Amino acid sequence: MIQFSNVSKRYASGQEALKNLSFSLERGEMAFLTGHSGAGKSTVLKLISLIERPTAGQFLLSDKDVTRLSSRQVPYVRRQMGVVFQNHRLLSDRTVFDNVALPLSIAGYPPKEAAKKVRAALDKVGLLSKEKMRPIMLSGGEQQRVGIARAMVNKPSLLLADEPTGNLDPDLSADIMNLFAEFNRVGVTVLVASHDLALIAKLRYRMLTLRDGQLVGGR
Amino acid sequence: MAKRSSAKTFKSNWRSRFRSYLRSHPEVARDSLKELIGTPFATFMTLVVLGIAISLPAGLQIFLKNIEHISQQWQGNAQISVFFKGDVSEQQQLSLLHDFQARVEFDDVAFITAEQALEEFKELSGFGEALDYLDQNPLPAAVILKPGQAYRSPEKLEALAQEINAMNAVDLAQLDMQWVRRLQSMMILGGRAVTALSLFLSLAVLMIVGNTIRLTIENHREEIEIIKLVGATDGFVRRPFIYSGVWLGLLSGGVAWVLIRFTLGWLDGPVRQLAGLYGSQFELIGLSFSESMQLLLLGLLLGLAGSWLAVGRHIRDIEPQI
Repeated sequence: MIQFSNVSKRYASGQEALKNLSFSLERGEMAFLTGHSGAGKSTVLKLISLIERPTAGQFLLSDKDVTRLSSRQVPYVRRQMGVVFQNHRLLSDRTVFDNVALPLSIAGYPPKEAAKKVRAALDKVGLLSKEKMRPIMLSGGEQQRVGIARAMVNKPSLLLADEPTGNLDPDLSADIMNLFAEFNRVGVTVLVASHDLALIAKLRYRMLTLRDGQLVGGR
Repeated sequence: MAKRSSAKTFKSNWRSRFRSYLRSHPEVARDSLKELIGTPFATFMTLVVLGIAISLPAGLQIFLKNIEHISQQWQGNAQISVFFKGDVSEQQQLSLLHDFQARVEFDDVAFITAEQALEEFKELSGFGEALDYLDQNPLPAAVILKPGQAYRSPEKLEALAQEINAMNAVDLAQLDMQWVRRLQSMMILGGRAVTALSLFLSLAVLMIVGNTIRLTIENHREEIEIIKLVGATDGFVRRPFIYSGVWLGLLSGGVAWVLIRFTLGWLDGPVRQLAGLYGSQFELIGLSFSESMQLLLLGLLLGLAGSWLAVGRHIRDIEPQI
């Protein structure tokens, strides 16, 4: 699903975020990306979601070389992945329902079909009863679950998460991770960046550890 | 699985893409309008500024059109007044009058005796009683010549006047055209000035719309980042802002129309009065239907162009961050 070959990323500021990074994630696999802040976790996620481009090396997504994909194609590739953020990044002026429906309306789904998918996704994260609320009326854990519903509503084959439990207490964090595990069980490839080692250790998934832009450990 | 998925990734079905494109336009247009209405005060101020900027050149254009109309009316009245020398006998005057009547150039030849001229002058000038004290009529007899349609061009009129001026019995052949020509060249000048002003003000409208849209984009930065992250194309992100610009342009065209109508209505009474004093039936020409449509279209196009300028520059700059 994801294949990095000798990928390096140097920012305009001169900072070398990734050095010769090579790893791959098989289709249907779930893995954690860990490391101290500044180790390159965010850069890996930015490269995968095509926010940044590598300065050197090759990056395959779904067996397709996207290293030098034209920017016109980027949106269509992004529709095939779901991204979950630490700070949810929900639109505060829209309802929970509309937030989750966003990727579908962008992809141009007919409203009826979209509504079905949105309700299914909200049901999955246990928030069906709150579809008419604004994100601000929800708790932190609920907001994060809305973010996950939005990431999963289009049934992407790849789910990326950047510190999804960063602001949550341990119980809620475990709930969120269980949700990811459930998606993985139905075949979704999942990559979660997290420094919550205590939580990760309890879950028996592959772990990729970054230090100074290089892979130092993996199971 | 691998093949199907990657095919789906890179080539989405163009027909469904086109269909969703068509469906989204009216919705986006409506949402953009709603958002403008959502901030009524700011929108109102922008619209008034834009409306004034559009109404100025349009109003001046109408002013020019009216002047042109007046000058055309007067051109239809082009005439040559021929005054005889004091010592010319009545017989000579009559024979010359017959000569003029025989010529094809003149549609109408009217003889005004010295007495008639004095009567008319008394009536129109208001010096009636003062003139009674004169023991001699100071006014000469005159002939008013009205050239036919084919002889009304300034050059031909001037040649005629010169020819008559050279006659022995004639003191002066006055062409009442001089100032029409001056007016015409003033209008050419005015037309240029209005065109230049129109260009500047159109540029101003473009910049104002562009800047308004830039601020709107800035206000939606977070939203733009998010929808780009969930797969929105630049076109999708652009669309609402383009529509905002189009609405702003169209509505300010409407504001300009109202301003012009209001001003014309306000001027109409005094203009009639003034025209009445000159014994004219002149009425102000307002905006015709097609001119009104042109005004709205102009607004729309300026709004579209202004928002394109802003959107092209600023939306590409906003890239999502994790």
